[in-house]
Amino acid sequence: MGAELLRLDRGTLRAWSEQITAVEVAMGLPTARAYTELVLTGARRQRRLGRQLALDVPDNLARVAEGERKEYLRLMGMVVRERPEAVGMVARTLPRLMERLEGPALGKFVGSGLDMHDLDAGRAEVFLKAESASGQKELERLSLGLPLSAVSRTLALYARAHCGEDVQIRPVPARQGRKAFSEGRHLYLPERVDRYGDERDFTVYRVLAARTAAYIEFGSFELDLRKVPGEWAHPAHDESDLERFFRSFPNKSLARDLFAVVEDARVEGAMLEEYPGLARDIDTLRPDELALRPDLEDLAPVEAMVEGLLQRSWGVEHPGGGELGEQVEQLWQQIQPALGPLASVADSAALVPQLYQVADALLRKVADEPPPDPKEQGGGKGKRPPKPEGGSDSKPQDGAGGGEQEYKGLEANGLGSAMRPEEMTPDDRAADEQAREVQDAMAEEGLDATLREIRRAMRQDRGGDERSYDEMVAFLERNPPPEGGQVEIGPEREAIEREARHGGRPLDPDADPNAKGVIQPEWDHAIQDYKPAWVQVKEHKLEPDTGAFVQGVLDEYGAEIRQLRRRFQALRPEQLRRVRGVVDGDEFDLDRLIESRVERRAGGTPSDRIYSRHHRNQRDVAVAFLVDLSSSTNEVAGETGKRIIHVEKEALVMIAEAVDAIGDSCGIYGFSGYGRDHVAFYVAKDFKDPYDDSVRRRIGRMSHKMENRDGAAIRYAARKLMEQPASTRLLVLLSDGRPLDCGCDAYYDAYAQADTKVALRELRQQGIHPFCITVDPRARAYLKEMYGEVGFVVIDRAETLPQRLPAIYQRLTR
Amino acid sequence: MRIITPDAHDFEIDQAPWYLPAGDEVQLFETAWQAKLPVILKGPTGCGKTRFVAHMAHKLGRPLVTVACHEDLTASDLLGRFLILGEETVWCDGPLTTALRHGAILYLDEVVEARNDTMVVIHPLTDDRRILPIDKLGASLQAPDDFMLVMSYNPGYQSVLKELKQSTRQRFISLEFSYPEAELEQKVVEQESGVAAKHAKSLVKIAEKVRRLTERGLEEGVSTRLLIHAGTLMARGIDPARACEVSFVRTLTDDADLQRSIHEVVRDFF
Ligand SMILES: Nc1ncnc2c1ncn2[C@@H]1O[C@H](COP(=O)(O)OP(=O)(O)O)[C@@H](O)[C@H]1O
Ligand SMILES: [Mg+2]
Repeated sequence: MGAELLRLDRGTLRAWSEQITAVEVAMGLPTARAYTELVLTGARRQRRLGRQLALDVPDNLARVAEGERKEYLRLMGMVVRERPEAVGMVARTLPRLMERLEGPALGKFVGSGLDMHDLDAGRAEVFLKAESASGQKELERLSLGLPLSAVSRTLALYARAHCGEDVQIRPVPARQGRKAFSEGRHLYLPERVDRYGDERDFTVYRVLAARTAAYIEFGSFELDLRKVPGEWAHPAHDESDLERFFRSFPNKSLARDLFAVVEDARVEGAMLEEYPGLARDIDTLRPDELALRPDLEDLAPVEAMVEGLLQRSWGVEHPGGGELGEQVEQLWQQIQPALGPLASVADSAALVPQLYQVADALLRKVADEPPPDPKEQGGGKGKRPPKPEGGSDSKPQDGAGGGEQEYKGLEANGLGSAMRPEEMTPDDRAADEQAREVQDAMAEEGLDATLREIRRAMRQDRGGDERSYDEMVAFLERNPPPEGGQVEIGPEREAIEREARHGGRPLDPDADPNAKGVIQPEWDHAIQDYKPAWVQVKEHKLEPDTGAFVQGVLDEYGAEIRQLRRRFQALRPEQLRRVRGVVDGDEFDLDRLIESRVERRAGGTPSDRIYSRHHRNQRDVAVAFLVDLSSSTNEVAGETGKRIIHVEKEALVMIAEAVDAIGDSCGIYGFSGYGRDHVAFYVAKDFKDPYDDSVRRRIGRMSHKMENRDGAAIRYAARKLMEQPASTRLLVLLSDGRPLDCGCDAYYDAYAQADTKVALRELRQQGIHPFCITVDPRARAYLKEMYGEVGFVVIDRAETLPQRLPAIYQRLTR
Repeated sequence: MRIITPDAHDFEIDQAPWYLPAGDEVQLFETAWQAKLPVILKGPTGCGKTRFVAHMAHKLGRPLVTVACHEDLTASDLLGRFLILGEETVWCDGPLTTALRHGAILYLDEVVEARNDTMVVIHPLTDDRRILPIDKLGASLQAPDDFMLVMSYNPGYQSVLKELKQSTRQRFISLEFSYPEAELEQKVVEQESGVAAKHAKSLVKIAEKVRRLTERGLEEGVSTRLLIHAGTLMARGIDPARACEVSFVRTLTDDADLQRSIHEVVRDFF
C-alpha cells in the first residue's frame, strides 16, 4: 500500500505515515486498514484528496464511538466516490451526526446534505451540522426511531419480572458508545434505536434487555473463583471475582473475550431454553447483527479465531472456511461442556485457560514469523515478551499495556461483551465485598448461597442501610434554604422571625411565629420504648398565594378535573339508599307487609312500619392528606422537568376536587421543619374549611422546606382525624419515602423508619386507616419494612401522581 | 305455620372435587370441624379457596351451602323470610338457616363484600353457644355438631370501607392461602385445563414473573384460575400467546406500560 501511495502522491504518503501508527495503536488493525483503504481511494481520484483524508480522518474518527468507526469509514468512502469535493465537510460533521442517527436514516440525511452541496456548499454544511432549521427538522424527522425514554418503563418492568431484582434501565453513558451492557445491577441500553424504523426497533430493545438481564438471571456475575480449578491472581480490595479472573491472565483482553464468547453462549443457551419465544426474536435480528461483525479476513489470526468462535456460537458453521473454520469447529467442541443446561458461570471460566493457551500459542507463532512486508510495519511490533504465568502483579487496567498490544479484541470494534463488571459503582462494590464475606462465613458452615441472595437478604435485614454517612453529608450540603414563596414579609414579622431563628437557620415565611407548640412522644427503637414529650409540633396555616399555581393546574388538567368530578359524583355511594320499615314512604316494604299480615291473621297488633323510603346515605369518610414538604421534594421528577413538590401539589388539587365531588370530609396538610423542637405542620385545608379557591391557593402556597420527621407529623395528623366524627377515618401520606431530620438530633435510617412504622401502627390502633404513597423512584427495600403493616404503593413515575392519586383513593374507599 | 327448607340433597356433593393440598390445610380444617370452630380462608382471588371448601365438604360428607356476599345482602337474605303462597303464609329458610338445619358447611364467599351490620347475625353462631336467634320466628336454632361456618376473604382488597371488623375476625381460625408452589400449580393447571404439560409449565413460569410486578403497581397477580382459563383455551386450539392475552394480559391492569411488559413476558414463552 505504501508503495502505491508513493506512486500516487508523496504528500499523501507523508501525511498517512505520520498518522498510521497512532491510528493502529488507538483504534486497532482493522480500522487502520480501512483508513488506509480510504486514503488510497481518495488519492486515486485526486492527489490532494488523499492527503486531506489522511490528515482529517484520524481526528474525526477518534470522535466516533468504537463500534461506529467501520460505518464512518464506509460512509466516507461513499462520499469520496460520489462527492469528493464535500469530503472535508462530511468528515467534520459526521461524528456528531452519528450520535443521533444510524443505519439508513444516517445515509439519507448525509445524502440530503450532499445534494444541497451541489447548490450551496455553505448551506450544506450548516444543514449537516443540523444548525439550520431545515437541517434540524430533517434530523428530527429521520431520528424518529424509538427513544429509550418511550420504552424504559416497560423494559424495566419486563426485566424486573425476569430477574426479580430492582433492576433499573439506564441509558448507555456517552463514553461507552451505543452498546448495551450490564454491570450486574442495572441494564444500560442505547438512548435510541432506529435500525429499522418499524416495530422491529422495539424488538431490538427487547432483545437487548433480555440479554443483559439474562446475565443477572443466569448468574454471570456470580463467578466464585473457589469453584474454578486453577491458580488465580491474589484478590484485590473491592474487586469482583470476574475482574480478578481476567487479571489472572497476562493478556487481560484476550481472556476477557474468550470468557465472553463462552459465557454468552452459555447464557444464550439457557435463555433460549427457558424462553422459546425470545429465540424467534433473536433469529429475526441475527442476520443483521452478523452483518455488523467484522470480516474474518480483515483480522489478524488470533482475532479471527476469537471472532470466528463468536460467529460459530451464533450458528455460522466453519466460519471463514478452510483452516480457520476447522480450528473454530474444534474449539467449539471443546466448549460444549459449558453449554449444557446445568452449566454455570464457573464452567465457562474453567474453559478459558485452555482456550487461552491455544490463542496464546497462535499469538507467539504470529509474532515469531517475519512480517510479510517490513515496510508496512508501523514499528514497535514483534518483540513480544512472553509472560509465562498468571500475575498478581499489576492492578486492573485497560488499554495497551504489556501483552495487550498484539491483541485488539472484540472490544476494539465495540462489539465485545456486554458484561461490564468494571462499571460497578463503589457502593455496589462495597456491598458485594460484604456479601462475599458473608458468603465465606456461610461456606465455612457448609451453607451455600449466591451473592445475589445474600445481597437481597442484607438489604431486607438491615432495613435502614440505604443512607450512608457520605450520603448524609451530601444531603446536608445540597439542602437549600426553604423557598420563600411570593408573599411579601412585613418588616415587623421579619424582625420577629429573625429572632425566632435558630443557629442561623434560614427563616420560613410560612411559619406562624405565634403558633403554639404541641408536645408529642417519639419511638426510640434502640431502647424499644417511647421517649415521652420528645417532639414539638407547631401548626401553621398557609396564606393563599397569588393563584398562579392553580391557574397552571387548571390550564393543564382542566378537562381531566371536570371528568374526575363527574366520575366521583357518580360514586357518591347509593346516594339514595332504601331505608326499610318506616311509617311512611314511597314504596311498600314487602317483608314487613307480609309480616304485618301474618301478625294480623294471628290476631296480634300489626306494626305499621310497612313502607320503605329512599334516604340520602352518608359515606361518612374523613380523610387527611399529609404531604412531605422536605427539601428532597425539590428534586426533579421524571422526564417532565417538574419537581416532585410541584407534582405533589398538582395531585393535591386533583384529589381535593375528587373528594369534594364525592362528598367526603377532608383535610390537606403538609409537614417539614428541622429538629425535634421545630416540626412544622402546615395547613392548606382544615376539615372545617369549605373547599374553595382560597384552599386551592393555599395548596399553591406549599413549597419545599427542610426536613421530614414523618412520625411526628403522622401523630399530629391523627389528632386532627380523631376530632372528626366520621365512622371511617383515613390518612393518606404522600412522601418520597425517606423520613429524615438531621436537625440537632439524628432522625434517619433505622431510627426514623422504626418511629414512622410505630406511628402508623398507633393510627391503626385508634381506628384510622393509614395509606402511604411514595414516589421514591428507587423503590428501596426498606419501604416494605416501614409501611408493610399498612397499605402502601410505590409510584415509579412521580409525574403520573396527579392521575394516580384519585384512582388510588377511589380504590381505597370503594 | 309451614316452614319451607330446601332439601339437603340439593347441597350434597356427589363427585369428589379434585384438590391438591399445599400444606396442612386439610388436616387443620378437619380438626376445626371436629372442634366446632369457624374458619376464615384468607387469600387472593382464584387461588383455590372455593375448591378447597368443596373438597372438604365432600370429604366430611356434609352438604355445602354457599353464599356469594355482596353489598345488598341483608340479614333476612341469610336467615329467611315470610312468603305468601295462595292463602297460606309460609316461612322460607335462608341459606344460613338451611345450613344449620342440615348440619351443613356454610360458606360465605368474599365476606368483606357484605355490610358489617349484616354480618352481626352470625356472631352468636361463632361463640360456644352456637345458636342462631331468628327474631321473626321468635325462635332460636341450636347448631348441630356437624354445622360449620366458613368464610373467605381477600386481604388484597385494600378498601378501607370494606375491612373485616375485628369483632368479626377475632372469632375465626384463619387459614392463609396463596398461589400454589410452581410444581403444584403446574399440576393444577394441567389437570383442570387439559393443556399439555409443557404449556402448563410455561403458564406457571409466566405467572411467577408477573406476580413479581405486584410491588410495582399491579393490583393483584395472575390467579391460578386465570391460568386455567388460558390453558383451557390453549387446549382447545387457540394460539397460546393469544390465549394469555385474552385471559389475563388485558384484564390485570389498565396501565399501558405494565400491560406491555406482561405481554412481552408472555411472548418470551410462546
Ligand atoms: N390446590 C388446588 N387444587 C385443585 N384445584 C385448584 C387448586 N388451586 C386452584 N385450583 C383451581 O383454581 C380454580 C380457582 O380456584 P377457586 O377455588 O375458585 O378460587 P378462590 O375461591 O380462591 O377465588 C379452581 O376452579 C380450581 O380449578
Ligand atoms: Mg425527604
